[in-house]
Amino acid sequence: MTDDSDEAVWQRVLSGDASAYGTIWRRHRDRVFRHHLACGTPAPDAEDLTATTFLELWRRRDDVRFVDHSLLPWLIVTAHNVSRNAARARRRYHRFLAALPPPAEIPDHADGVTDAHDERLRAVREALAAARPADARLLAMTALEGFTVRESAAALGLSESAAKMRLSRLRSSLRALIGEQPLTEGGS
Amino acid sequence: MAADFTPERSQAIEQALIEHVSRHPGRGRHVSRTIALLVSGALVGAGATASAFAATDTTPPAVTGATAAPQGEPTPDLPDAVVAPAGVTPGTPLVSALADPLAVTVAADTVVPLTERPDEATHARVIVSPTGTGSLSFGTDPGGNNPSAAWSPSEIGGDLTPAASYDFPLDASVDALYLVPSGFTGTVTVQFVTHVPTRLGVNPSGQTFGTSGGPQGEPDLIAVIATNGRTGYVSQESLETASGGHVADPEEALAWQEENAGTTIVLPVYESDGTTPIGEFQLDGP
Repeated sequence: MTDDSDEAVWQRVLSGDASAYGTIWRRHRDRVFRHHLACGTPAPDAEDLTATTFLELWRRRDDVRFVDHSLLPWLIVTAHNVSRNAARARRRYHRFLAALPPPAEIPDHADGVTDAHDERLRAVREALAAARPADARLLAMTALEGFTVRESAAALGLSESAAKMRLSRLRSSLRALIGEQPLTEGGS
Repeated sequence: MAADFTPERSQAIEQALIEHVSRHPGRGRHVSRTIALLVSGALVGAGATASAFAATDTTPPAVTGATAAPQGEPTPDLPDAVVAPAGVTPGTPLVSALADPLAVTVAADTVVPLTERPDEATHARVIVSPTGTGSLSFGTDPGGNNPSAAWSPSEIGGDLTPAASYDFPLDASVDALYLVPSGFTGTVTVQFVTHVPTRLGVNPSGQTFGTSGGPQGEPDLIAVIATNGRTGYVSQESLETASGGHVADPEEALAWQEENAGTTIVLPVYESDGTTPIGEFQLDGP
């Protein structure tokens, strides 16, 4: 019987079976893609960021953490970091871009599609933008992706109690900003 | 969610990823990094040595050779590379200081938050000045995959106590500096800086030359300081072979170490033309 867990497939990649990386890609591509969409990235860019996330996964291969033999929580943390980096790059060129005539088409397709029927998602995005990076990672894992606090803490290398404390602190500090939208309704 | 991944693009990306992974396999990296630490001369630049201070007003501290780049560093979002101005070795980043430096006294485990930083900051320059003997692990990886430096009694209290310095790349994953002393006491200074990469030079024979470790990859001729103190270049190939970077797995590394134990390898140092000799570069064997 073959072991099909992410951890087993990852071991095959590490021992030289590069094609097994394709298995990891196919298994988690869509979920990572949707994470980038949920963060407000338009679809074509989200595809690029998804590819970047998997490149980054390999670049940081010595640091990978598995949660219950799954790579997904770690991948989502990586996706979140990639997404923030991309946002940082956009901000850097913001002044230049703002001086140009606006593009003819409405640029942010993802905003139009998702925000219309998801007030909560918008609130979460605002909270993500306002939170400190470490807290934002935790929030993305729980509020956006629905991982439990235990799973999120394990992927982020935090203790479960530390993660709970951060989330509770975050909830009270953000209440003023985004009102009473439930923020941290992960699985637990 | 309405959108799905374009099937053709997904397939193309999958192929590209598999190719990338097979070109950069998981083994052998630790081996070459570890062995590279045995270099007894000094590589020029690499964003962390005294030469990087040339472009700032900061006085260059003496730098210990104990700080090697750890694995899996964050990737800063660097500006486009510019041509190296006169007097700067190609490939050496131009460094400018942003905001005021922050100094902390360290005697126990300390976490310095790095979240409040200018948008243009690409690196956090960390300078460690010891007041007592001991070692300090310092870096931005909460898991502890960080460089460390150690000071012996003979190094403390002299006229020039050697400081250790490292420019930690910053990206969104970095939010703190972790300082873990063992026996160490001293001061740690943090200064946010911007690195603007400079382009590698190309000599008339078409070889690239410049400092090692930059974003454009390794040059054909790597800048070093020769034993006579002059800056010149050794061929990347000969340095790689001499430092055991060609070994592919732990068994080969062991064999290589046995074969070369106790030897000193001398490499010729050239001008940037790759042919005019100006000195020698020495490496201690394993």
